[in-house]
Amino acid sequence: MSTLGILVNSDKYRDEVLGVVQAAKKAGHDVKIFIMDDGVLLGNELCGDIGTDAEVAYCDHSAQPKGIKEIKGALAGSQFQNATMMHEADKVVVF
Amino acid sequence: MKILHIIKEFTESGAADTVIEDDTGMGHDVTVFRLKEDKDYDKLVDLIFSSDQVYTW
Amino acid sequence: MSDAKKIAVLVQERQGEALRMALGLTLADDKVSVFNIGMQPIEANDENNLNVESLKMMDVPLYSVHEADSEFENTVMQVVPEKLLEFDHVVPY
Repeated sequence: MSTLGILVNSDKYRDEVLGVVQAAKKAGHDVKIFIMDDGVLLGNELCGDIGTDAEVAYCDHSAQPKGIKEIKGALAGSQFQNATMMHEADKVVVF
Repeated sequence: MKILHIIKEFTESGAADTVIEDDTGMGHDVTVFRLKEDKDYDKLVDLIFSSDQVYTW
Repeated sequence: MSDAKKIAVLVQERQGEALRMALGLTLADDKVSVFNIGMQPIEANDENNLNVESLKMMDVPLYSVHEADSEFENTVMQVVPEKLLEFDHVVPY
């Protein structure tokens, strides 16, 4: 089994992220997601869509200034979680 | 080397075009997947894991 | 962490976040490099200056296609694609 890392740094690709997550899970891959920058704006919707199909963390430094106090289902973290995701992922895509 | 370029949107710098052209010119096996035109995510995931290197522009 | 990965961050439009992320990526002991291939030199502001200085302290190689980026090694776009082939992950930002 391989791990796909998805960096979500934009709020423009909700459908695409969901499509890739579901396809990756169907193919038997692990999926880890890190959300930062404008990506936090769709964090709650995305986590609602994804459910338990991916391990999700987000950059609290990005979320707080945008008025987002919590992304349900995701770990409130820092760039360390992104570094860990990139380190562990076999492949990385950016949305 | 098998290289996948995923195109999300136009980039102002044209950097994606330069890298894709040069990768192709160097003889690498280059695949370009345009997200706005192709929504086959099963195919995309297959391409991601069968490629040596993946770019998302 | 073992088995360090080689990660290239390609700075394009959102310079501040790209540099912040690049600095963060050093936290897992991976080998991070930064390429400014965007249309503009890195904007001089407190946040960018601090991040660039921190990246230099972490021995992160910095490359730019803009001569104005005095803290970066100058390069040209024509040689960047070949340099990128050695990386495990390439992250355009």
